[in-house]
Amino acid sequence: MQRLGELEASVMDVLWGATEPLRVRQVLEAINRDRDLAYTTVMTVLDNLHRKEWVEREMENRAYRYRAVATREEATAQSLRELLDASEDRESVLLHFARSVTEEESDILRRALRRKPGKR
Amino acid sequence: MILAAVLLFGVVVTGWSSPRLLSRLTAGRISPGTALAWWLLTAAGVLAGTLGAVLLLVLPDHGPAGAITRILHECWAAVGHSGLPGLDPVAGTFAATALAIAAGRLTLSSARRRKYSTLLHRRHLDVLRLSGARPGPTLWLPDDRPIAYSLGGRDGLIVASQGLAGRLSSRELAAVLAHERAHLRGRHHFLAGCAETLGRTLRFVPLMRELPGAVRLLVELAADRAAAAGHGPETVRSALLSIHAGDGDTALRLRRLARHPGGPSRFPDRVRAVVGGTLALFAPPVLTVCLMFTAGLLSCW
Repeated sequence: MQRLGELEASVMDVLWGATEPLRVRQVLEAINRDRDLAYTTVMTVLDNLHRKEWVEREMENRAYRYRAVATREEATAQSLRELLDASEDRESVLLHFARSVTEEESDILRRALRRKPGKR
Repeated sequence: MILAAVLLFGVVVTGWSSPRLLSRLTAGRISPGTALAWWLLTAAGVLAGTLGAVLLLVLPDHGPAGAITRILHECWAAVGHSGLPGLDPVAGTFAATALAIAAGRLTLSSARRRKYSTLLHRRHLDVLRLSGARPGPTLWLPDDRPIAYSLGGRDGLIVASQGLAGRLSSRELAAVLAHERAHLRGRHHFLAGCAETLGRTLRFVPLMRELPGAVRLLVELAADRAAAAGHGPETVRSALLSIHAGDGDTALRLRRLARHPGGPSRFPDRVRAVVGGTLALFAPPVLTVCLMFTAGLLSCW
């Protein structure tokens, strides 16, 4: 699944919120409630989403109607899975609250800490 | 030449012998934050010492080396520059090349890490946007596993899962989030990143090799302490036990929590941090001066 840009995500938001397939004009109206986009911009975005297989379209009265391929929940779950898989990366940029360590267990500091149970 | 060589010797002694000493000190009663500072400052001192030694070798007339040497002991001014002719340029070139290679690798490694960190950060925000949730300081993942971690960088991010919230009491959850916030506040990701990069690039130096593991453990201990200060060590303990990952670090952290109830650091602790940190940072030159003095005294007799 290819990742979405910010504009693409807002268009997907509109499609997920709709009960039926939408035309470009309808998407534009919904999205322009809180911004000011041109018709062609939204058309291009929908075209890209179609190419990335996020939306399906069907011709009706010489105009396309778009709808989301997966539900919001499915899409979130999928990208979450990808995210968590990536977080297993060895180049550990993250600090986990409780993480499993294996290779560093034998280092010198841990040995010293284990040997010295503390006098307090 | 002599001064540079002795300084390099100080670097080698520090780089090779300090991990053992630092570990023993860390296992004592100092706070994890202080220990963290000592480890990192020692590493910084080794880096600075190496840089200084190479500069002394490369600079024309060895920079202020002659003056420093004379100040240390007049006897050395004569000896210091009567070394083997023709050796200086060779040693200088060699040292400068080695340093340039090391610096290049360090830069590359940290750039790669930075790029990856930015990418991960963006992916998290993508998921957040997809899920339609409101952006906030904590990103809640719709996942049943108990997940709690944080991402550093300019806009630090705390990530927790709904599975975590389900498994912990509200007090424990607050303690875990305080733990992660302590990571962000203490710039622990940055410190761990520096240590990781140094460890990867300068693996042949024992201090650098031990540094990533030590820093990783110490930032956890420091964050535990911060969480314990706000929510009580018992809460942190029970949170750790609830999502226990079953490794040696958890056992170490539990034991530390039992021993150190936390709370604001006391005055002597701060003094220790500053004095020890300064000593750690200047370990190579201090060693150098001691050596030069001893040698100077011996040669003058």
